[in-house]
Order: sequence, then structure tokens, then C-alpha cells
Amino acid sequence: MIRLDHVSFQYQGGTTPPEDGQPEAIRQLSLTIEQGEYVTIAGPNGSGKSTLAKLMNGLLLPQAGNVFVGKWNTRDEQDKWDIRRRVGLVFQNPDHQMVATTVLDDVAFGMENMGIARDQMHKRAEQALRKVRMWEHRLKQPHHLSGGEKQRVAIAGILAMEPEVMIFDEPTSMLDPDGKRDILHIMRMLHEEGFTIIHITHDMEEVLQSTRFIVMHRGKIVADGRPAEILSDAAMLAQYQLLPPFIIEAKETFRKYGLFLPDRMDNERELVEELWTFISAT
Amino acid sequence: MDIHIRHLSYTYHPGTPFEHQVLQNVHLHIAYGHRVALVGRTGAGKSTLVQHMNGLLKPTQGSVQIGDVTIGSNRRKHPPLYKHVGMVFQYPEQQLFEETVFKDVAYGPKNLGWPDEMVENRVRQALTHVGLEPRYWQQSPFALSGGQKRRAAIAGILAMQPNILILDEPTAGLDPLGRQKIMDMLSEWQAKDKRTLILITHQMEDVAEYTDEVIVLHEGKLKCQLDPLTLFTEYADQLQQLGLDIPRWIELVSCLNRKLNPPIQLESCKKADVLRQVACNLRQQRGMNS
Repeated sequence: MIRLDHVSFQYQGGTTPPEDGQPEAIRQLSLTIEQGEYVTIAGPNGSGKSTLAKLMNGLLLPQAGNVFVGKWNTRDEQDKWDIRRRVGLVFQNPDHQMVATTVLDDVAFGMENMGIARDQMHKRAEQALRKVRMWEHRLKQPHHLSGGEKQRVAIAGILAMEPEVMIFDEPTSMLDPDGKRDILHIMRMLHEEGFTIIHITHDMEEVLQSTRFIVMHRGKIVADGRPAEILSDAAMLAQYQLLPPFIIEAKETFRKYGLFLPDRMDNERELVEELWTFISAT
Repeated sequence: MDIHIRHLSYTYHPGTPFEHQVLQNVHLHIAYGHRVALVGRTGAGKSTLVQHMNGLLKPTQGSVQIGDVTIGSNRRKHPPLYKHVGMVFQYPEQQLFEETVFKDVAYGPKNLGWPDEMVENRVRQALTHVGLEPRYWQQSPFALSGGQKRRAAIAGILAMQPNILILDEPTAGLDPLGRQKIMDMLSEWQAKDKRTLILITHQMEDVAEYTDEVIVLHEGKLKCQLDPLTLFTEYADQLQQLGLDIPRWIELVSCLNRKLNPPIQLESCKKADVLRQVACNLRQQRGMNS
């Protein structure tokens, strides 16, 4: 679905070699993401995560190497709009993504730019807004919405363009717990519906809901695999400014205290059940 | 230097069609030297409340007393609070502006009118405390990484040695280890001279780990002021109804307790303590030696 082939990118004035946190460069990076995957990407501040996201939908063009979306190369100017429609991008700050005076107009904005017929536009906007449970708020002004609601509208705006891939760049980091839960739920739902999801995050708990986890450092991929596996390697995580999620830390601690628990437990419900089994098996 | 908030109400744009009451009869006391979390959903009034604590906003009704300075709804002038109350806003690194890190951190202390030598000492102390090594001091703040910029911005407030330090989401947007380092650093700062630390946060994990008092705001009203252990164990349902979380390790215990007899009575809400207590309890239940 998306293929990066020896891609390099550096912002003007960027330092070589890049240090942690300097403008995000990408160095000789190759990566293939298949249709239907749910990929989380993490790494220290400045490791190149957001740059990678923008390269994937042609918002940035590589200085070396190629980025392919399906059969299209992001370098081909005439395919630019096709690519951006197929690969939607949701940013961190919902306030920066609202453009119109009502929720409905906001969702219609992208479609207007694509020249979609009016009746078709209305149908798609309704579908998209219902999917994120914002249809009943369609006539509200965006500034009256909470952060989580604004983010849902931003997602609807992209859904209305009927994309195949959705990239979320830290979509929950500015939201309160409620808004965060909503957005994570929507992302899971979209994945189940068959969308390819690429999710950049600093929250290791969120990584657990993906099917593939990529760790970036200084513009390169330093780990790529099953989330539970990578997240169990505490030493490696610490090297890249990451910490294991609670479930894995809890399992480790219980083992140190001599509570022997099976390896395969991916969520808290399973952990609780194992602990119950542990005490009843006397 | 205690904080007394007395029957505080605040209305934006009073007497206009845009009139909006953000705080309603908030009444609370924060004793000096406490580590306090201020929690609530977006729009609950958290930022408005703390802006009263450093004199940026004046009450529409009621009063705010910081030490012996009282600010009421009248127009009377009051002595400045910025010498005592330091405020770190969200994404404070956006406000860095000087040519060097050192000059940026010195900006606040200089404006307090301290002699040069004292300013330099305080700046050195603050930069060392936040973990920025001397090799960064003469660099442009814009050449720092995201986490380092955040540290430099916090150092600028610490250098003024406020008695009360207020931070609005100080770890938002940082990588996990960077977050933990900032919280540890703030916690050390507070422990050294036992000053007051007030933290606006959505991270209930940080609340459990680093504070000893929680103020819950909801739709402009004070819901409760409790220690975090009581709040997370006895009021978990109410907290969730307000759209707030409880830390994962405490949720784990409440799940386990559904089948444990007698249930685990938590003695602390810190992660390491909770996991240790759970492990020891389960070993006992299983009849293992502890």
C-alpha cells in the first residue's frame, strides 16, 4: 500500500549528523506497509516520526529515494491530489484543522475542493459524521466543541474523502481522558473496517492496540515487529526514551516476586484472570 | 504562604451576549508546602482558577488570598504576586526568545531587580537543577531539542525562586522518558525547600505518583479536594463519571478485589508500592511464604 525506498529528507539548515531533537531528518529509510495493517510509530522527540508521516502523503517530497502510494510515486506532480485523497492525515492540534463556521461545512470543505457533486457531498458528509458520532452536532460552530469533538470532526473530514490510509500524528496528546478514549475507539473501529492505520504516538499504552510497532531514532527505523515483543524489551525502550506500558511492567514485577504467570497476556483483563487463577490453584 | 480561595466566581465578558461564567463559588485552601494536582475536563475552569493565583485575573466575586496579599473584586491595587508565584504555561518553550539559554533564564530574575551576581547564581542553580549542562548555556535556545527547550523554559521560572510554582501540563507532547525526568525534577525541587507545587494535568498516573492532594473541578465548580489514594479508591466511579481516569494500577486492584476476600486495602497509590502490595497479598492468599 505504502512503500518507501531508501528515502532521505532533511530540513534546510538541519545539522549533520542529526542530534536528538534537532529538526527531524530521515536517513536512507526503507519501509513497506501493507493494506489493513495498524502500525504505531514511536521514538524520542525529533526522531523523524512526523517527517515520515508527511512524506507518506506527499506533503513533503524525498530528497533521495522514492515514496510510493499504491502505484503512484509522490514525486509525480499530476498524481498529487490522488495521493492526498487516498492518504489522509490527522494532526495533533484539532484547533489547527478547523476551517469552516459549522461542523457540516468543515467536513464538506475537502470535498468542495475536489469538485464532488452536491448531493453526493451531503451523503458522504452525513455518513462520515455519523461514523464519528458527530451528526447531531452538525450545525454547531467548531469553537463550541471540546478538543475530542473537534478531533472527531477532523477525522470525519478525512473519511468523507474516502481514503484508504489514515495517518494520525499524536491525535490524542492534547485531549482529556474522555476525548482520548473516544479517538482511540474510533481508530480501532476504522482498522476493523479495513482502513490502513498509521498512528504516531508517545503513549506506549496506545501501542498495544496496533498490529505492528516501529521505533524510530535519528531518522532511522531501529525496531519493527509485534508490539508485545518490542515492548517487553525494557533496556531497548529506555535507549530510545520510551518506557514499557503498565501491563508489561506489572508482569515483570510480579515475576520478581515469584508469581509465575504465562507469557501471553496482552491486556489488563487477561492479567486479572491469570492472577485469579494463580491464587485459586492451591 | 497559604492560598485561600474564598467563594470565587469569575465571568468572562459580563453584561454582553458572550457572558460566560467559568468559575462558580469556588472555596478552597491550599496549605504551604503541599503538592497539589488540579484536574478536570477541558473547560472545567482549571486555567482560569490558577490565573487568579498569580493575579492575572481578578475575581468577579469573592476573593483570593496568597500569603498576606488579598485580591478581591474591587479595583484596589495589590502588591505584585509574580515574586512569589511562578507560572509555567502550556508549551512554555514557545515563549523562549533570548540569544542564549543563559540570557533567557536570566530574564525573569533580572526583572525582579536582583543584583547581577545574584541573578547569575540563581540562573546557574536553576539550569543545573533542570539538568541542562553548561555546554548548552551559551547556545541559542532554539538549537535545543524539544525536551531541552521545555527544561530551559521551566528553569526561567525556577530561577525566580517562587514560593508557589504552578505548571499547566508540563509534560504534554514529550517522549515517555522525557516526561518522567521532568516530573522527577519538579518533585525534587519541591522536596528541597518544601515549597508549594500546583500541577494542572490530565495524567492521573502523575497525580498518583507525585502529588499529595487533588482538587477536582467540574463545570466551574469545586467537586472535591482529597488525597489521591482516597480519591482513586473510594471515588473511582464518580471520577469516571466526570470523564476522568484512574491510574491503571489502581484499576487493576479494583478488578482483583471483586474476587478477593478480604479485599486488598491499598496503603499508597504509587505504582511501585501498589504492585508490591498486590504481589505480597497474592503470595499470602496462595499460602506462599512472604
